[in-house]
Amino acid sequence: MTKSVRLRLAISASVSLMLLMSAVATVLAGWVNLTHGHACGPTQGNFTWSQGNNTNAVTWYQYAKWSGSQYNCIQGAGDWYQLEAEAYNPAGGGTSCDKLHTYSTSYTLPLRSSPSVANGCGSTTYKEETKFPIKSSSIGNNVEYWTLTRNYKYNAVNGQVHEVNWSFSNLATDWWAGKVRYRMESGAPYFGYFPTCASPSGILSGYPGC
Amino acid sequence: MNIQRNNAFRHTKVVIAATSLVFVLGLWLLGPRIATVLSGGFTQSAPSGAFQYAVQREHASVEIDVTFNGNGGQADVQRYVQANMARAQALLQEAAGERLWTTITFTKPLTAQEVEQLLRDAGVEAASYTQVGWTATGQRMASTSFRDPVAPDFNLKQLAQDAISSDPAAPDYDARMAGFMVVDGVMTISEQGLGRLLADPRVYLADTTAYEVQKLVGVTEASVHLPTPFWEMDWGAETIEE
Repeated sequence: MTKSVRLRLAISASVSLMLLMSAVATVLAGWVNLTHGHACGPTQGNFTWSQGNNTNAVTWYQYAKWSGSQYNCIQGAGDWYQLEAEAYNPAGGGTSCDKLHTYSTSYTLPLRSSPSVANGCGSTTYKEETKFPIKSSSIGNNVEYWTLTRNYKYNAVNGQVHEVNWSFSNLATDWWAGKVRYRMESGAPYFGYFPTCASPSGILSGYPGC
Repeated sequence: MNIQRNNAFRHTKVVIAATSLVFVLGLWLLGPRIATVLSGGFTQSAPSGAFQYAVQREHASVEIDVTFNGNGGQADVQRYVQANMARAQALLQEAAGERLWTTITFTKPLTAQEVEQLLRDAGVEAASYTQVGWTATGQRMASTSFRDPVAPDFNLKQLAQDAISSDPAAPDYDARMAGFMVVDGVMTISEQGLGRLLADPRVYLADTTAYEVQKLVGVTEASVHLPTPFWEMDWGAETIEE
């Protein structure tokens, strides 16, 4: 093998590697700038949705990071802020009620109290609303945090479309930060809750904006 | 004419200066109050100075959020713990038999078996259990499981294991949990309940603030969210719970 052939092979291997890395990055990157409008809210967000195969539960991951002026703001904001994962649509008194019930959470987000669940709308049996009270002074600059909610599926109807919402809150007021719309599809032994779109556009990798 | 114009100009300057002074003075006096209002409704400090609280009333329900006073540093937490100890001793004398919402923070992570035994002995009805640990990349993480009152087959150890994802793509995959650090729930104010928790060296804080804050707000029923310093505490070495 001549020197020039070896050089060409090396260049083409490097280019292939770079293209491959770029493709992987495209699949993994879901971070988008958030438009909630609060100066102390997370700068960027990202979702993943784990439907599982033939399970009675669905897991929704919410990623958040603070940087720049929003990081400075949350650092001095005091302990009254929280992130809320709402397994329903809180607008107009609430829709998509009683479809999901949150039974457990996990998080790397530093908290000042344990998270709590409450009924968001509809029957009080189903707890659709999870609150993560943020320990503001422990938030790091540009650090990736995640929270997740594990939810049991209820009252599924084939073909119905519902949604979950994410917001930043200061106890009294919510600033909407994102949503996932999902479609219920009958299957055995459990229904599938499959995403159809998400907002802001790009926050759920591979799905269009709503 | 010029003299009149100069006088009028001077007068205008005085009015602007006076108005600015009043505005700045007002901002200086009311600034913290305005900031408090803007940051989430009225937040208030307890007369004891040990904590702050915020009240939300929606329809018939009342929600009260409690935080440590100050910036929640070590001294603020210590003052909060001491105030709780003093209040707990007083409640054992004056409010025996009453029900109390509490958040219990342990001094170190406990196993599921230890937690269940401790709660059973003290008669605590748990609403949620929080275990702590580290992700595969070493980041601190926690997991909270909520007890469903109607679920007959509750198994804490199983729930703790199920809280870690088996999906290699998930950020909590391969997480290592150290044990349980926090329990939220209800107990009875008694020597067998609260008294037993206060005497147990594994308990860092058995919070009684809900009793005081409900009296301050003037309600008998409320959802009270109590603070816990668990995130900043020592969770030990990165080991897997046996």
